[in-house]
Amino acid sequence: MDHAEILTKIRASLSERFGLEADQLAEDARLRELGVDSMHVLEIMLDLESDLGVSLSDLSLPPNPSLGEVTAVITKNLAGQA
Amino acid sequence: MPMNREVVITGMGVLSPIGCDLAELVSGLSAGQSGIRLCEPKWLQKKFPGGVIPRSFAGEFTKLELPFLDRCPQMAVIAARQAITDAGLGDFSGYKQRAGLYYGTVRGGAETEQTGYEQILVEHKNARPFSVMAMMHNAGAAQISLRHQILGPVMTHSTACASSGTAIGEALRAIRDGYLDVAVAGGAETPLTPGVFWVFDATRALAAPDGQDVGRSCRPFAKDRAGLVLGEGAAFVVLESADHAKRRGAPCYASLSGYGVASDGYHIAAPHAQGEATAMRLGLEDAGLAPGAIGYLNAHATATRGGDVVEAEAIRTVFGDAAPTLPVSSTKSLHGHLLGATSALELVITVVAMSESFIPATAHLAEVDPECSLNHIANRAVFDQPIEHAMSFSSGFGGTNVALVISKHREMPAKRPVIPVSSS
Repeated sequence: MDHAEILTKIRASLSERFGLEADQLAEDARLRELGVDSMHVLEIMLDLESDLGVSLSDLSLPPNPSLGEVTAVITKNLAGQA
Repeated sequence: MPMNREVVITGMGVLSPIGCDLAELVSGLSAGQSGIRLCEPKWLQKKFPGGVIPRSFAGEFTKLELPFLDRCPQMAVIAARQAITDAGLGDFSGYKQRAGLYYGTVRGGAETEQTGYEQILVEHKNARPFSVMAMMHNAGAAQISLRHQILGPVMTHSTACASSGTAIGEALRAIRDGYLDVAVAGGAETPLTPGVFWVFDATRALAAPDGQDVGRSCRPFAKDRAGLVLGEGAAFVVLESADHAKRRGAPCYASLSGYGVASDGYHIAAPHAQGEATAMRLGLEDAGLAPGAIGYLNAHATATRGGDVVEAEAIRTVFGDAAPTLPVSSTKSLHGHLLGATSALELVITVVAMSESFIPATAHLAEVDPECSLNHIANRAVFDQPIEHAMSFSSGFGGTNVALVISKHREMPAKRPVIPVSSS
């Protein structure tokens, strides 16, 4: 699963779970500015784990990550498992 | 040496089975309108009466906020916001550590905990990352502190049914002793969950639904009383030193003139007249009042067989010669027992009774139990009854007793709950 597909899944999850609008979810949008904190991100990651049947081992994110940076961490995790 | 400053009530907020703002509360109390409805808790093969607020508050929060907010802290946030807005305040950051938040609850996020057990045992799901923050007992206090930037002590009291009473009393002391200028104090409780009904039912203390009218299931002091009725809700007051309120030109409902707290040291569940009487005496002493000065007593009376008799005995002991003329009522007959929020709700009720010059009644009191003999205000509120000083009394499992005394303020402009306070 590539970066674009993961990003699409994260966007869908943020919209469905937390009511964020698609136009807020640019790749460079900073999570803090969206009101998304580390607990929300954790829930999104748990969603992805159960969706994809994987276990994400390295969830270390930079401070106040962008949507793209979260996507990159997950993509890297998945690549490591491939 | 601590200072000794007068403390006044400048704001109030309430979500209760008989009204979700002060205006509704006054009208519900005046009419003797019962907020007790039929509850059919999932999993239990039994129906119970309950003091229900028949609405969801989820719509008041964003979907980003909601996962952190059990119904209990939701109600805490809304009722506290009403009180803070009512006091003409909003953001306390300028007070730094001189603003405090004192909160009481018994079960905290009971619904989240209940859902958690279902997820573990039935659905075999993982917990959500937010579950801890939603169910922890101090969630309501913390959420209010975050939203209003209350940066001094943010304390959660759990003294069973005295929880919000001790919270308010300790806030009073912190202001009076000079540690704080202003405090928000109260409690919230949402006990209408299968688990809470289940454990309370095992004590055989819960009333069954009244066969004729579920609204009259809670009958404190009555010969035919049949047990307590759980209720949900939240109530908060804003307390500040009188000097502080005067400086900012804020009117007040009343002075919070006395706080008495005493523990039974007797039994984990059974109440004891001696401890109750001591709390009432200490409340009177703290306010510098003789028993005869009290014009209304809002009793704890939950409508259990034993508890009401013990409390009536304590009241007769403390008030002595004044007892036969002291108007007493238990408004739990209308709103049920809000556990950790009950003391705060009943204080708010006592304040509106004083400011609107009426005495709310104990509803459904057809025949008084002779063992509960007092000057009961039965069935109908008494209007045009000026009250100079009043007491609200609460008593909890574990033996903590609290008496809060309020007094009319002589100099400051009087505030009345006539303007409906928005819950949004």
